Amino acid sequence: MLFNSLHFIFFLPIVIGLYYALPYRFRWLLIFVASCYFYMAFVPAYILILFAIILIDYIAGLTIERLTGWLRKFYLVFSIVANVSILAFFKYFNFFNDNLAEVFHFFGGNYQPSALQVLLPIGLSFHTFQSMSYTIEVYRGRQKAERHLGYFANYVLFFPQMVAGPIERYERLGEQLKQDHDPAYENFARGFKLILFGLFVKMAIADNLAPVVNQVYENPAQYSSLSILVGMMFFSFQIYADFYGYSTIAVGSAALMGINIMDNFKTPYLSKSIGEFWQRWHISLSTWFRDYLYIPLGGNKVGVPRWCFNILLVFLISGLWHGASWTFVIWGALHGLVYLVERFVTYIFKWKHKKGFSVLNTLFILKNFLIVTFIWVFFRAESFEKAELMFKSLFANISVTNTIQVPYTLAGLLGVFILSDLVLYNKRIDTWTAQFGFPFRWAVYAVLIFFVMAMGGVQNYPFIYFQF
Amino acid sequence: MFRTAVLKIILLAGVIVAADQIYRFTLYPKDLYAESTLYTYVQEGQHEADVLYFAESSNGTFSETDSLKNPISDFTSWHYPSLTFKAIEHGAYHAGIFKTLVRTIEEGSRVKVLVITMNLRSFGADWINSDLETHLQKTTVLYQPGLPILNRLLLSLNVFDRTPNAERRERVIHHWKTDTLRFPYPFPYATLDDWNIAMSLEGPAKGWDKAKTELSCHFIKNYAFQIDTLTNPRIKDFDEIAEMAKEKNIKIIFNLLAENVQDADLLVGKDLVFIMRQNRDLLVNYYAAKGIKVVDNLDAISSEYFLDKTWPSEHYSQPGRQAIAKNVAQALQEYFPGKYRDAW
Repeated sequence: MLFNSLHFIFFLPIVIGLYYALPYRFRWLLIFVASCYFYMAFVPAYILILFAIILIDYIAGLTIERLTGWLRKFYLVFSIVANVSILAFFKYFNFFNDNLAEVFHFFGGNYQPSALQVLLPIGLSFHTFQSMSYTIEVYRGRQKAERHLGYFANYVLFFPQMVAGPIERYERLGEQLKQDHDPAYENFARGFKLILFGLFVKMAIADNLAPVVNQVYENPAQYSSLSILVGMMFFSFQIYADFYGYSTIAVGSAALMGINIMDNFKTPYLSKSIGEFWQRWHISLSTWFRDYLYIPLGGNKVGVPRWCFNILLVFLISGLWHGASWTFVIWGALHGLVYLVERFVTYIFKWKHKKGFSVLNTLFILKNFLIVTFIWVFFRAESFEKAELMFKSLFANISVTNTIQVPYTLAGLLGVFILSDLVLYNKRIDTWTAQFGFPFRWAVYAVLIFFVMAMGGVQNYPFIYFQF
Repeated sequence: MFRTAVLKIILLAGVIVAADQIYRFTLYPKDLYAESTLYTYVQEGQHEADVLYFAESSNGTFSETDSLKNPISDFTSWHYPSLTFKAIEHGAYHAGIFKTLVRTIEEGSRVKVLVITMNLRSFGADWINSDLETHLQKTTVLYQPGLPILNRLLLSLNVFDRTPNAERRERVIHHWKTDTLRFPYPFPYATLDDWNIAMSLEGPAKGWDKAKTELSCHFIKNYAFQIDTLTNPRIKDFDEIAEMAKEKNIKIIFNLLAENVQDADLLVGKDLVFIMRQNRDLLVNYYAAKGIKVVDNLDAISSEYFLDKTWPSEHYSQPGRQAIAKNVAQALQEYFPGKYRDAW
């Protein structure tokens, strides 16, 4: 079920209504049923895979807590291997197979891969990571194992964040799901504001940018260099608006039930460096990799060569997490390389970014935005060759006169979106509007309502991160 | 909390109404033109024209060798120089879409007669479940009854028939395999699917090349069905159009288009021609009983005037279009007595 659908518009108030109408002891069952229903709106049979993940990690958590010695590690490894195997099977089987065939051909062999005709269960990358974080925390002794299967299932299945995050930790989300929440006006107000803003960002921004971006990426050779640059930059905003919009709706939907889930974005394009960018972009994923891969590898408490290796490995795996394609690996690798270069440069020149507005900071922000935009090309392009064509056309088509048409309404909307990022900087729409009086607040809501209802994209595009 | 929530909901409703007013005067006309172009033509036409001619591509498709490339609606209008005709035309449109447009004609408009194209193939499962249907349904969202801004939101949320193409195809195949063909004489094939399979084998057995066999199969798939007035959705669409025209005090003519009956006979045989004419008779008689004229062009045009040779269609060269136009014009005499003129 998509957030921007009539189905969800009816689904959400019914679930919220029942949530508060039902006695506390039945709420876990409501969330479980509602989340299953939400997920099964995509491909019903794939709920069984989630059930498998839930059962494996529920049993693993209890077992790890009960046992001592090497058996604890055994069950942790079992949980991780099971989760990664499920993910690998559905997501990476064909990628692995195709590359194996290439290796065989390179050495003169003959291996004909048979492609697996399976759809990637939606949100699988998110579920497995979220569930693995639970067993790892139980193993580390930082989380008590959950005895109630229903509560644990809800932690994995919780519908606002089940298909595209944020990837929550059990101590935050799991515990909140068990609490008795009373209906509170503040929660409803907060929830609706966040949902409204999320819909604005997704429908009015991301869905309107998509056709222009698609035009350029489908045939870059026919467009002028400026058009290609605009197309690249538009994709930067499209993917941000798409994912940020989804995450905001997720936070808002959870808020209606009195549940706080983490913010996944903090105005990432106002970052001055790649390092800062990854503290502001898809925060739940970057913190997951930091806590469960980077730090266990030694983090920065190792020698420089090993540290560089750790950084690159984390970014490579992050790239691969996003998709089973070399373009995603290149995307991750480039982020890792730029990160390392920036760290070395700031180390050599003893540079520290100063806070606040300045011309220099603005230049850093623009520099970082450009770098991120160029790296996004590998994320968006369907193949390395298409990414290459984008860059070739960018530099070669200076004299080409064919330009993309950008409606003035789209330019205006994008301007509003960029302004909202500048204004909101490190804040959310609900906390920002709370400081103003009734007339201004409602003027903002009225404008957002107009944008959502009157200016949403007419082609309904699925959330980009659903494919991961 | 309850009182605050109710007040806020009322305020929200007020915001939406205000937003709707702003939308109507700013972006709505542009959106209508972009997404529902034919609706804008109907709104213009209902105040400018005496006759609105609703059609799909049969109206305006022409041959490069035609000396006159005018559409059927133009040729028809030449017989009535004192009247204004306006064509409301779009490829692949059908009665299901025409009815949504007819609904928007105001009572008391200038329009006196609606001519609605009746394409025999549009009654078949293949057209009813066409892949194009999603796009066609999308064009109707913005002018549905209700607040324009709500319709615009529904458009963004994709609230229209978006049945996946695979499911549409399954429906078509289901009909082909299960709808029984009934003949008043012994006929070897119970369903369209049986007949199609037999034809695909018969063609090569007769020494036909692949193209000719395929064309024969296309004819079967497009015409080998029998209209049931109780269940066929197109009948329901035309019935609604007739009803709406009556309520708006507008006369109506259904223009049953010419089909390539000669080629149907040559390629498939008299059994297919029988079904085509049986469907024609049903439509003419069914609507005659309701007091509505159906202009019968089924056999009006010989094969040489059909433009497409690899697919059964209703695209005609100039003589074909003029022949249909003349038939329609003669039917219109009932509603415009004394105004008919010979045009060529």
